[in-house]
Formats: sequence, structure tokens, C-alpha cells
Amino acid sequence: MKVDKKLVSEISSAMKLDFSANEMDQLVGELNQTLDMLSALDEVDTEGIEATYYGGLGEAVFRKDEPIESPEQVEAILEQVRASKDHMIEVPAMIDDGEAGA
Amino acid sequence: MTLHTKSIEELHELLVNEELTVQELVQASYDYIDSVEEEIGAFISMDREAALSRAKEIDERGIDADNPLDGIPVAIKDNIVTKNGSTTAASKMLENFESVYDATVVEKLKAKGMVILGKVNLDEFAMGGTTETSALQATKNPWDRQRVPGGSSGGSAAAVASGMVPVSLGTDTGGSIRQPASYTNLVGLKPTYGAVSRYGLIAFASSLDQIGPMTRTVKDNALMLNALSGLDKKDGTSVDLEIDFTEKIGQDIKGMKIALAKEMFDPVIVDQEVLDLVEKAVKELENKGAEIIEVSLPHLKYGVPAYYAIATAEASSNLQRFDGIRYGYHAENPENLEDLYLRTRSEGFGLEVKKRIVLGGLSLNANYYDQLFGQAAKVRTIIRNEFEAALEQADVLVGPSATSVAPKLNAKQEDPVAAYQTDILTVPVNLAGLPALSLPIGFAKDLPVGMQFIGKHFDEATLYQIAAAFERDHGQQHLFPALEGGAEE
Repeated sequence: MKVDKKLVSEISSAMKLDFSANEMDQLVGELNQTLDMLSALDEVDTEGIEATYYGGLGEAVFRKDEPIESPEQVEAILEQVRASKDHMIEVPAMIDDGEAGA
Repeated sequence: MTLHTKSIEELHELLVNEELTVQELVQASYDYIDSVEEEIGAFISMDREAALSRAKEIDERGIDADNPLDGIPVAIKDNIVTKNGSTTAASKMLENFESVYDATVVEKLKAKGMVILGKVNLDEFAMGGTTETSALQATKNPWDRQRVPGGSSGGSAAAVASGMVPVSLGTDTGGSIRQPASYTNLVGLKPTYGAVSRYGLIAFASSLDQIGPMTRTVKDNALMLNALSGLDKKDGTSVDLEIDFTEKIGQDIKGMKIALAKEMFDPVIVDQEVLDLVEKAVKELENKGAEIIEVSLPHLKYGVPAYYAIATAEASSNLQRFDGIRYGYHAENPENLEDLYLRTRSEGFGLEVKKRIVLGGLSLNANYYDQLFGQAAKVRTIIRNEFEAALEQADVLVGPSATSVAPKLNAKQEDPVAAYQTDILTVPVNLAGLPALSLPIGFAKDLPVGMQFIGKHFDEATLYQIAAAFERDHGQQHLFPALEGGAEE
């Protein structure tokens, strides 16, 4: 399996990452080397094998969906955010329609 | 009194006998750190005022003689969140981040009376094997300052190996406790998946990550695991355990079965001087009455590709949260939301982290999922089954912890893919969810070498039993590197 700049750019865009031209060249090269290594997986016959996604032995643990209020944590969290207003986290406009905000 | 060479047990005895106060111990620790830290670079941050204040509280209430961790200093890997101070993950993305809560493991250690001296360095977001991808600082191996301490828990390893603290917490997703332990003459444990809560650990790969202790002695390590382990309602993958992990230390190993997987002893993969030491150590265990059997793990070599397909996929999902909105680094004057995301993440993450996120995105992409992530998850099942089958025949599996002694600084940057292959001995254990301990067994080229003991799920007590049997006759724990400001023991 090989990747090219076009594919890597598409994946990077989906991952919300930007690379300079030099970085992109290096990235494509290193990804192809890594994919060469990963291609060893094709040698393994996995017919009839169930995938393992979970790290442990047990099953999913459920709890009651009950809210726990921690107002002091909310204040501490809001101190960290980039921008806030009226106890809400403010984000830049999603679509620039020429006016402030979406 | 030379305190920095003392184990947790030895320090506890001094505190209980009132030969030392916690404040004296903490101050002496900081004095020693000041004398050697410039050479080593283990600590990202320290809060001396908070630590000394805590020490004073413990002195005022009196040491609990039945609690071996009371008043003992500890360092915490900086991808484990702590209130009142920063948690950076060694990344520009979190350089000024202050957590609003303590990780469960931090709460547990505080409840046991431990005193946190500071946060220690790592590869950025725990992605690496040398601690060189840290965006904040370089950490050197105390045994040879031209060499890496290993990674990603390099700061944790360097802090203990140099004597700055008797114990630190590390994390292990693909070997990041065991390999630095091997490189620095330490005992390092990756617990069974689920044995220790991950709540408050900045996630790298959630089906592989585990927090574990790094110490100089086996007993110290087991004492720490007792404190760290157990059910946590805030981590749905944690398991209800009522185990005393120190229980079997001191017990005979006569008649125990130790399995050697021939694939772990391949001189094409592992340097000969490492193999020679491991084989000598195995012989010693045999002389103590253990039975050595040979097993095979034919799919061991697929562990590295499977790991990188899975770990990067999980990481790409886990690191989505770093978007510049709720916490952490954010790009200035974004034009819109997309611009904020793109520039925040491109500027905030280092190159290795970005590379792994892109690889993870590829692994999960609809066109490549079956070939990469899907296939890797099935290979994971095969690897897990092989380990479990091998462990049905024996009490433990034993082999080298790392493929070589600690490499020189900057060596791995020349060949990043070859660097991934050096994880071959450690990543399969994470894929299988099993516990594994690295124990120091000697020196090659004047550099430490570790042996890995891999056990059945939740059978860390047996790992400690066998490791302690070897440790008793060797005294690796009494060896210290010669440091400019430090005392050689």
C-alpha cells in the first residue's frame, strides 16, 4: 500500500492538521516506510478470527446516568477556555457570512 | 546520612524510628535534585512550597508505622493530571494547562501520605521511545549522559535512577515503562490492563495504556501497586481487585515453570550482549529450582505492525479533543472555527504526534480500515491467544525487556521506522493486556540491561515472587550512577 501527497493531504485535512511543503514531503516518505512495515499484516491468515478491540477481559460496565453537580469545577473549567460569555464557552464563527458570528 | 540511595522501605524505617522527619526528607530530596538536575533534566515542574507544606502536615499528625508509603516522596509522569500545578504532556499544546482535578492514582497516593515532588518529562503525549520528542526539554540517562533514558517514561526513569526520588509513576502503552526501566537499572511494571485506573491519564491509546510504578527494588514496586490498583467508578475498564501483591515476595521458586519464547531470543532482533545476560539470568533461576521450558510465539513479529495500526488509530481519536476551545494552546486571531482548529493543532502538536495522528486517520479511513485497523485487531486476537496458550504451560514468560542497551541521543531520529521495530519485545504484551515487569539483571558495555517477566492476567504477585528471588542474590538496586553533584554508592 502506498500513499501520495493528495491522499495524505485529504487525511490531514480530516484530522485538522496542516503541513508545510517540506513537512508534507517528509511525511509522505515516512508514512510510506511505515506502511511498508504495516503491510506485514497481510501475511497473516485471519479467516474466522474475531477482532479484539478491548484491552481487558471483562464486559462493559454500566452505571446509572445521574448527573453530579460540581459548580466549583465549572468555574475552574471556564477559567481555562479561550473565550467565554454568560457562563458559556464562546467559539469562532463556523461560517463566515460577513457578519460577526454565524 | 545519604538519603537518595535509600529505598521506600528503608526511608519508611527511618521515618518510623524518628531518625528523620518528612520535612527533612523532602528538603534533602530537593537539595539533591538541585545538585544533579542540570545534568539530567528529569523534572518539568516542581512545587516545593506545596510539597514542604504537605510534609509539615504529615510530621504534625505523625507517621503511620503500618503505612510504608507515608511521607515518601514521588515524581509523577507529566501526562497524569494533578491539581495545583501544570500538566503539560511535554507538549506545546498543554504547556500552560492546569488540571481542575487529580487523577485517581494521584488521589490514591496522596491518601497514602505520599509527597509529590514534581512532574517529570516524557515523549510528547507519550509517543516515543527516547523522551526526545518532548517539546519542552531533553532528559539524559543518568548512567551515561550522552544516551537517552528511554521513553516515553524517560523523566520518570531518570528521576529514580539518579536518586532524586525513590519512586515515580510512569505509563506504558507499548513498553514505555519497561524499556526505560531496562535502560536505567530500575524495576518497572506495566500492570494487567484494568488493574490500575486510567482516570486522569491523558489518553494515548485507550485499549493499551496503563499507569505503573518505577522503583529501585521489587518490594517497593509491589508496595506501590497495592496502593495504585483497584476498582474506580470513574474508569469503566478498571477491575475490582483484592490482592496483596507483596504476598509472594520471599517465597521459593522451586518447581515453578519459566517459559522462554524462542522468538524473543533471536540475535537478529536482540543484541548479543543483552541475550548473553538474559540467558545467564535464566540459568540462575534454573539453579534456584525453576523448570525452564521452551515455547513459541510465531506471531510475535506481527506485534509491531498491529500495534502501530491500532495505537495510532486510537490516538487520532483521543487527540481530537485538543481543538483550542476548552483548554490548552489556541491559535491567535482565528478567521473562523476551521482556522482555529487547523492552526491550533498544527502549531500545538510536534511532528511525531502529527505523523501518528495522520497514520491513525489512514488506519481508520473507510477505504483502508479492513486492511489496517480491522486486520490489526484480528492479529491482536491471534497474538493474545498465543500468549495465553504459552502461559497455560508455565507460570511466567521471560525474555529481554529491550533489544539493546540505551542508544545514544539523536540516534533514532535518523531512522524513525527502524525505531518502531525496537518495540517488538514489549508491544505484544500491551496487545494481550498482560502484566509485565522489567528487572535489572546486569550491565553490558557499562550500561544497564533488564529482563522482562510476563505473567497471566492479574498475576503480578508471581512476577514479583520470581523477580525478588533473582534480586536477592544480586544487589542491582544498590548500584548508582556517578553524578557530578551526587554521591556514588
